[in-house]
Amino acid sequence: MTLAALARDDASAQFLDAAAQGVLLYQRCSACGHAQLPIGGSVRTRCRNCGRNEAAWTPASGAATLVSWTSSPVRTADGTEPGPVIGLLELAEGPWLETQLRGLAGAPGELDEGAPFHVGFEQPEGSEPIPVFIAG
Amino acid sequence: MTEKSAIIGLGITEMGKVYGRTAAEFAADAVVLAAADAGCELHDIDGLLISAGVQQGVGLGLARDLGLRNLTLLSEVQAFGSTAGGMVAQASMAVQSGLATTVACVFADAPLVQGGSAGAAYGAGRRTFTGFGGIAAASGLTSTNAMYALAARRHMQKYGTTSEQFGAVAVAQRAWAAMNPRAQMQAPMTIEDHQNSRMIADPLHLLDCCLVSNGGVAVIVTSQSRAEASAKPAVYVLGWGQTHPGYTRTSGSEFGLITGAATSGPMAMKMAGVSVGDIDVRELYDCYTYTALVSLEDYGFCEKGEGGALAQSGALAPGGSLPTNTGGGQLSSYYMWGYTPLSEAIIQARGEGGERQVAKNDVVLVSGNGGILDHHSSLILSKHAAA
Repeated sequence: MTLAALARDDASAQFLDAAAQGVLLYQRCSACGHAQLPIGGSVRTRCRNCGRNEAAWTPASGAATLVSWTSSPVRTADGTEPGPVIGLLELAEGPWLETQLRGLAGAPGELDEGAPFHVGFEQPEGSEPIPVFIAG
Repeated sequence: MTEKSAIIGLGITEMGKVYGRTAAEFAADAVVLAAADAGCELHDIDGLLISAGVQQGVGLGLARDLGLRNLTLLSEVQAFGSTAGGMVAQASMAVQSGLATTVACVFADAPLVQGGSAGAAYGAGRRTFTGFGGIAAASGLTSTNAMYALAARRHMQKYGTTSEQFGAVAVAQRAWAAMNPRAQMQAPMTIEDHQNSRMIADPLHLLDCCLVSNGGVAVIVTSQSRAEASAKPAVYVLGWGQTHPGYTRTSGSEFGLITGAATSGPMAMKMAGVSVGDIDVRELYDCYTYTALVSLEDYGFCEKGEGGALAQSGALAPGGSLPTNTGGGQLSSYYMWGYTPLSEAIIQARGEGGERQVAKNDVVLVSGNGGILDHHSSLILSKHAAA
């Protein structure tokens, strides 16, 4: 269930500093109240609802529900083995993000939209901490 | 009233596992073939619109490579898989405004390398993942296949769509491909073949995914008056539309459930003066079986969520009531981005489909879908100048 290494950039520094403390951040626009997460790295604080440059990092509860998921087999020397299950999650505050799922009881086919998850953080060697979502 | 535009030339190069030629060479070949098909000389071309290919192997230098010296319009156009529809619309507006009289639109790509796998063709290899956008990638979400898998799974959860129903799309298109001499995959396919094909990104099996192809396709767009004097039957461009849904990536997003077909389709049909019931042939962008299925719903060929049942009914297949992707589509014929559905639409509208020709071919719908459902285009084509 390996995560690849993640490096920081200026735009992600605050998010990753909080992650190192076990806190998941999202952005809330101080002008219109819209909740979001950045899509890429190039636009840092622009609100995608009202266009103002006032999307401010805010602690999230860490609770989320599953929107969708996928998994791809991983090639090994002998063939393939099941790969990690990647979830598309909706934070309780509204924003979506994709990352690996943990603590699944059964096969990916037994998952359901709306299933509850909560955030955890893992830090691969040489990487910034990466949020993952744990069932329950 | 503004004159209609029309497609008078179609050029399709050798397609598929064709090695030793660059994308730029395929592009040049396609334009030469399209001009010959249109009965015009290369120097008659005064507009050139270029789709650079998935690999970005074609550029403005194509004009120089072809020795074009009379261009009054030259540009690259980019909206990923929706590019082809946008290019035909742009070319149409150029001939209608007088900016140009004879516009070549071309796509070419050469991702396949001899001895390399199709899977490696678009693979970028292991990268360093950086910043917020790197989280999904570091978690393994690096392929288009996996991103469309998220969309397809969401559709399955919401509407009860099944993998077998996706398979029905693939099986129907393979039956069409069996009658298309250009198709890369012509061997018969069953639902069992689909179900037994290896998992690429759950729920998408190998046979849910489009091919990878080397080749090029070009079309020549001109005005109605010039088209009436052309060598081949003109295919009129009656309507076009493009929309870019702008999924919010927050609660309430319709990602995976409703695509741009729901908005670009009505735009194009309104311009053409047709309704969904008037469409005889559907050439839908099918990067995945799911994409074709959800497009059928969003265009209104069935109720929302009933795309799976429609596919299973046999309506899409040869002999069915809603012939769809009649050349085999990107799943079974060749993957030329939006030029796969566009080229087959022209073939069908001209009545040049041979064994696979659809008898009633008055109105043809062409769709394009780009990004991860981020961009959408629709065209309404017809052998008649008015619907």
